[in-house]
Amino acid sequence: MISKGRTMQLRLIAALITLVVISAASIALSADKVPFPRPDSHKGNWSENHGLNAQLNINEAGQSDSACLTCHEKNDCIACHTMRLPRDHNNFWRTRGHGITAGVNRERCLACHRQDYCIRCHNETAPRSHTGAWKSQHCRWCHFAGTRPDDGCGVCHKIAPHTSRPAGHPPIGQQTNCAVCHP
Amino acid sequence: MQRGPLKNLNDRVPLLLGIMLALFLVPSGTSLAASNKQSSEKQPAQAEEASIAVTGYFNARYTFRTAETASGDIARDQDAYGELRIDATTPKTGRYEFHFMGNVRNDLDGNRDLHTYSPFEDIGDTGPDHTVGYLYEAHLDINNPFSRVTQIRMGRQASTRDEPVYFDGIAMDVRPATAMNLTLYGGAGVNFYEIDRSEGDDTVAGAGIDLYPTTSTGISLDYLSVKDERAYLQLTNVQDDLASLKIWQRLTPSVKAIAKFRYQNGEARDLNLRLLGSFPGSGTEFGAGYIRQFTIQDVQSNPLSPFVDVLGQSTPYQSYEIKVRQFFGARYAVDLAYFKKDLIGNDPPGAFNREYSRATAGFEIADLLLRNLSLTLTGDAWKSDDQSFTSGGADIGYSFGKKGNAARINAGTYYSLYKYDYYLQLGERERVRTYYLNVRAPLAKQLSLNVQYEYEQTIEKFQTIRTGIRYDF
Repeated sequence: MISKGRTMQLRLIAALITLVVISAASIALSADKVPFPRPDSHKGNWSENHGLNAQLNINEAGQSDSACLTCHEKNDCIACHTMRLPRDHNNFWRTRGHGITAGVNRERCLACHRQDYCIRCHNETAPRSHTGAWKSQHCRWCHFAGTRPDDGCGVCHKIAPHTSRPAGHPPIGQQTNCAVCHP
Repeated sequence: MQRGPLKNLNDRVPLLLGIMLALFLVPSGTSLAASNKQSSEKQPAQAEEASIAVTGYFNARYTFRTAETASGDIARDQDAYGELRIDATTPKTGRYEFHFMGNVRNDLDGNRDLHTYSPFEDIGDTGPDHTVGYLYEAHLDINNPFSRVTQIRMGRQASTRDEPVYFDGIAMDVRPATAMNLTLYGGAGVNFYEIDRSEGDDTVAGAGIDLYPTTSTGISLDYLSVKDERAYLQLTNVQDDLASLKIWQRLTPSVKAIAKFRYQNGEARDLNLRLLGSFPGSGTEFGAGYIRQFTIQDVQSNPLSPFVDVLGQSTPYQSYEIKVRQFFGARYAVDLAYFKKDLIGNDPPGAFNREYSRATAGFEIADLLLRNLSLTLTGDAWKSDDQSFTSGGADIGYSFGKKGNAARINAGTYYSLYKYDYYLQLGERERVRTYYLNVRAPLAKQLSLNVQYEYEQTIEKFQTIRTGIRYDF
């Protein structure tokens, strides 16, 4: 009997082989791309600064044979925006910076990502903060980060075991050492 | 509910590939045979014209990373990637097109433990499988199949209209009148990272009408309905109905104004105004924008949600933006931009709803000392009530060799400073220094080698080597 994981691997291998076959067939039928020179607008650091011109000249919905689409395919945008990372998406960004930026401009993330990406990663990878003495001190992170509970817990913990001081808990102050009772 | 045998995204991939390939190759094979006969007997001048023109690329890449922690421990990670893109057309008749794009990633030795932090973990470390594949596009297009029907697209697709939704289905463009276009589309919704690896009964359906009263004016009316079956948080399924009106007016050949209003689930969602201009004679490009979100955005379907499930509600705001790019002769260019976001209404700022302002600047020099040697300097700064970010960078690039297949070397450095609160450390400061070297070397007419090295000094010291081969056809 083949396990579920093994079945998934076989499916992906089949998909990969199909890709290679399609690729080989495509290479055999390959054609030269349009030999037009680059337009004058494509000067300087065009790949980084094309956004403004693209908005100005991009084909509106329903127009399929002018402006950008004279030379480019519709899926050029998807190809590049899907496969190429922005310059600031470095390792610090991956582990911490993205959350800081999402706090001020979540709309920027929507250019490429949907929320299932965030949910999957936050549910299936361990946060950097949850190391060391986290278990005994995490209450202070939630309750005393500044003057109000920090919303950061809610990124993953939608249904927290408690959202305020548990019943019967002694008063909590800034000097409270949680680890005395919660080693 | 699940969709039976197609309940998993990866179930659909081989099936879609097979259908698309079969649909495309059957008519094209016929076309090849017919055209060969025709060309040999009657049209020798066109004998070399192919019945199928295929362009695209295949890119294979290997990445090796190391991270040295503050305590001196060193962690390592290796990943392999493959990308394939195909754009095929039948140039003689222009009748058929096939577009494909997908990638495969293999996590060669990653840490997949949910409970221990790894400095390399990312989306590729989720799920039970070390190998994952994503199919972004695989659609067969038939041009002008019937009178007034300009195109039918079948298969996995996106960018049918302005809203970026992926779906497996059919889209059709109809031209009922000269200055009018109608697009109808719908199918099974595609969400690449569903937490239960299943899109269930997600659906997408929409329609759009474009009217062109004059050659410089366009009016678009759109309706999109998204049904999202949710397994996350045991919430009930979500259905969003989005209607939008977009008007664009070309004020002069170089200046365009765009206004777009979106209305969702019975209330105004947002307004987006843009003014864009480009004056090649004076070397000036500019853009100005205003966005206003009218209402609190709560739980929504995956394609339309502003990350509410992760970041919480998005409170009403308005933002202003202005960008200017000015060329000075053929060699120099300056970029300046300013952005400001203000919250509106009575909702207090939160961890993920902040007011902030951002300023960026850039300077480019082309042909510095040598032909094709360029220098780019960039700066970026934003500030909110208790967080801020500043960065500066420099990139030097040099191209040489045959035009259209030149080798290129880029080297640069970036410095970033984040100020924020983190855990118990209020007022945390994090400095990130990055140095990199990128080389693209053509090996043959369509084959190139890419090598990148990056050193990043932050909480850990990261070193990354990426090397790959790309074949463009």
